[in-house]
Amino acid sequence: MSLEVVPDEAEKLARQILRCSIGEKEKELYHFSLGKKNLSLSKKEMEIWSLMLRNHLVFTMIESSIALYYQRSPIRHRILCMLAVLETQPSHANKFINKRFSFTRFFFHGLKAAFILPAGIIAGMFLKIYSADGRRV
Amino acid sequence: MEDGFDFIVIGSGIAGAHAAQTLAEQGVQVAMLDVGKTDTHYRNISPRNDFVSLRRNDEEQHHYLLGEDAESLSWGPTATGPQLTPARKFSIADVQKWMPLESDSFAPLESLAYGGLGNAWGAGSYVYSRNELQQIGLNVSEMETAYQIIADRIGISGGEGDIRSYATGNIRGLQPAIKVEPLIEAIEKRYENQKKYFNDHGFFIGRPPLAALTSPKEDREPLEYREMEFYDDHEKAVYRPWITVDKLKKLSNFIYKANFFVTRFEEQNEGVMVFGINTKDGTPGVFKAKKLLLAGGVLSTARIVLRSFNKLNHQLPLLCNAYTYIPSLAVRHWKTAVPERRTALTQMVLFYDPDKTNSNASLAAMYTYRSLLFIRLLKEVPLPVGFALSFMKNLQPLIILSGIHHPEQYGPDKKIWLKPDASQPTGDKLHAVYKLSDNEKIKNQDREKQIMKAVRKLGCMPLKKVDPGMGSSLHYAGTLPFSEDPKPLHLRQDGLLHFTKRIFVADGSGFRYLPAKGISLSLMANAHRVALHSLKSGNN
Repeated sequence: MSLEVVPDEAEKLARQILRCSIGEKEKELYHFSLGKKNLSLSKKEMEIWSLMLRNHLVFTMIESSIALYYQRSPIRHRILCMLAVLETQPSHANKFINKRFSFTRFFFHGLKAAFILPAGIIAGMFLKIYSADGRRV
Repeated sequence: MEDGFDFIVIGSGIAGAHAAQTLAEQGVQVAMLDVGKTDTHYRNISPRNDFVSLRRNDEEQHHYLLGEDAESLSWGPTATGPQLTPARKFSIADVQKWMPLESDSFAPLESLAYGGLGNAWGAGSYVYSRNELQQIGLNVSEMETAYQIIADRIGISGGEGDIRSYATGNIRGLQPAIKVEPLIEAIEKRYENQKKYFNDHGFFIGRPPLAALTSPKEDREPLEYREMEFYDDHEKAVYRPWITVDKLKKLSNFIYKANFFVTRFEEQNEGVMVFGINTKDGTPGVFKAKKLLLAGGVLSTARIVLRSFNKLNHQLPLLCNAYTYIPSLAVRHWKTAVPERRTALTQMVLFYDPDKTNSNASLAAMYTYRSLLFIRLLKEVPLPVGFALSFMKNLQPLIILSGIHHPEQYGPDKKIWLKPDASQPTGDKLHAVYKLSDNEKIKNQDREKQIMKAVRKLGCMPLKKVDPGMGSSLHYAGTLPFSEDPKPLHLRQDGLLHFTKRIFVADGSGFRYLPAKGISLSLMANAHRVALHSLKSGNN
């Protein structure tokens, strides 16, 4: 397994997670954290990962599935890594800090979850087939 | 060999610091032997500002929030060690090397740090009741006197009102309780409105007793509500044992010896030889004193005693509070806003004492969540990360965590023993097994159900129960139980190890019962008490 990264992985990932652009500092921190945590991916995982980073719908579906079924997946850990990097940058602080609960937002989250969860379940079925040779996802 | 000391104290943590202070105040020559790992990088690296301002403005925050080695990123099952912030990780540095432990049922936290586990302490400072002290085997009036002395030394705030008898007993001179945020005030109001119901069912709720100042004391300043208590000690508002040891170092009759890992002792006619290893270069060393106080923590003391008496493979009993935590959403209080400034410490404590005897209550310490990174929560949420963030961020103002401790008795599957292991620097490794009986599990689960009912009545919705595993409570005791009858590997009530004349144990090793309340204040009080006895006992 290798600590390979997809070209422009950090920028693509930040766009997928938080729809934001990042600078050199965040990219360096992301790559540094990947190395420190040794978040290498198998060949199959790399294929899935590259596919995810190309398309937002595919990213959402596969990530939903991983969140449901493969929470210890290194793919998920890479995503969490980027999230931690973004969380510790002042320019993104307000995405992580909230003062008041909103029922309206809660309602819309509920609606969104109604689409995300089935998408995750469907993607999960394909991932199971894809990794049927026993290799991890 | 270094000689000429009246007393050697092992360890600079909660117990060691206060045993040493009591001895030094009496004018005797005291040497403290300690490994004393310190943090030379993160110490006060964060600016003296509140958490929200730092998050919004400090371009260098990733150094101390994420960590220079990305320490904040941990993927394993929820456990206590990984929950430490980068600034507090030094508390557990090198423990696996010098104090290895093997167990599939017990994962304790131990420390070789300057100030011990007190560096990561949440500051809860509870007295044990008369009933609890008697069950433990401690002298009630000595402990009550000792509690006051320690409270005067470290400064304690809160713990009054309905929870007085559970929290602070007869301690005088308490500082006003910490200010709490509007959400906690709203929950308090709900408790007040239904107090009869809660009290009738054995629930008593109030602001916790904390070793955190709300008024100035000596060179320590009051809490600034920066929410950075798990990262820095700028104002020294929260008491840490290193504060005491720093002061002792200025005394001419106190010597602090760092980088020395004690392995065993040997009692002789005129004194005690203490053997150990220099942790920097691996060379052996010896110290000699008239008397020895073991105060390095229960597991560390157990290793030293077993080695010294050549009792490898001999099993010792062990006590450790069972601990779970329950994240909840304060749904009935959804209108309250989160203030910019608040404390990260416990803001409310709930005692569940169904028989109202104050002898075996369970305790839930409640605190809100913000100053640890969101990622620590999100990795447990089975949702895509971006959506989970948005979802949890909206819920963040409502999140309350309840950490529940249960009282603990001895059992057949609660023990430790030292096994030979030539691959280790000390030639041995500690093994442990810690399993609750079925009855204990059922009892704890029942209590947790009742506590969750109370949490619901307070307007909060419990989400799930998280079990970080045995050992995560950080409360350990009972390996060398108090005994009136002389027995090997037992302690006299004054802390003297039976069948010795000069070896005292000043940590929680003697406690025969472990109440659910935080052990720290009782450890400090016991250490003071044992130190006083060691001064009187035999020849100095």
